[in-house]
Amino acid sequence: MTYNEPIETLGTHLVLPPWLEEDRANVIKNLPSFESFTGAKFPN
Amino acid sequence: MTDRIQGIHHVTAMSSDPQRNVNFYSGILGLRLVKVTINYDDPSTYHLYYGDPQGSPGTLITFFPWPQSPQGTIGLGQATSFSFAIPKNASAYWITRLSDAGVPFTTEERFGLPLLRFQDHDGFQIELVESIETPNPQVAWDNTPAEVAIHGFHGVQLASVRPDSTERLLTETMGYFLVAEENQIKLFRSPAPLANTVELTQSQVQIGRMGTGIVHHVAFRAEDDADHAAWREKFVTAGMRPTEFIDRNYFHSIYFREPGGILYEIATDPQA
Repeated sequence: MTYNEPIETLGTHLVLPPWLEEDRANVIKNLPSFESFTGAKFPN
Repeated sequence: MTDRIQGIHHVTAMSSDPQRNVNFYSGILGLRLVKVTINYDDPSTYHLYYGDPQGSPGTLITFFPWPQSPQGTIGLGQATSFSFAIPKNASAYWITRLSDAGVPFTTEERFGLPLLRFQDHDGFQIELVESIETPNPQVAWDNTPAEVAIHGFHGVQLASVRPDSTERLLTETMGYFLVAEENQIKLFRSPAPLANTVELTQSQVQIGRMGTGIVHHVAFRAEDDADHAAWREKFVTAGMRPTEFIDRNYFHSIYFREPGGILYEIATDPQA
């Protein structure tokens, strides 16, 4: 999990595969909301 | 090539509401949410990864939260439960923590190790097994000290449609050793320090049905891409039909259904 991301930021943001990054706004529309225990609100 | 599978890489399961999932696995079990992404085959569904604070292979339980999914049926052709490894004598702490959270549990001993058994809100059969001799300070996270924290997987329990064939693949191809048997359960072990047990139960009688509360697949570890390719060849030779290599962004994967109906994945460890 850490090879392409610093440990500190793991699980704090929605990570999309490169082929979906351009369509992020549309992908996010279809995802339900939830909040993690670090206080991060998803989808973000 | 490694001549024996080095334990479980991750377990992936079908769950319901993502908030309830986070509340249980982070809030009650103290696992770190280490990756929030989407199901690459269905981008309208999250893929949530929990593990130790570093997200190490062998510690990762992942979920596809799918609130509309019907409840599944636990049975043959599935991993019917998963167990996490906790330090020796940590059960007392978890009895209090589960009780405070209102999670009913039972205690028992299997293969000489004390364990707690309970379910989450989706019906997953979960165990905490006292199998860690020396706590690793790096697994401390949030409000769970290392002396009692979940260190990763202890193992999984499988219910096979063809237990003899499942056993043969585990021992003759994957390099697991049959080390014990009790109460219709066979215990297999790999040489890995963590996530190193597979149990094969013969007590299940009904065929499992996929849905919420069901393990989707069990992923085993390959060291790197070369090791991965060698394992794919070995499984082909054993009569399996693995997929081609799939890029999962954080690791590379192949999948196949073993002879007892259980979906296996072989996934590479992260490369530096």
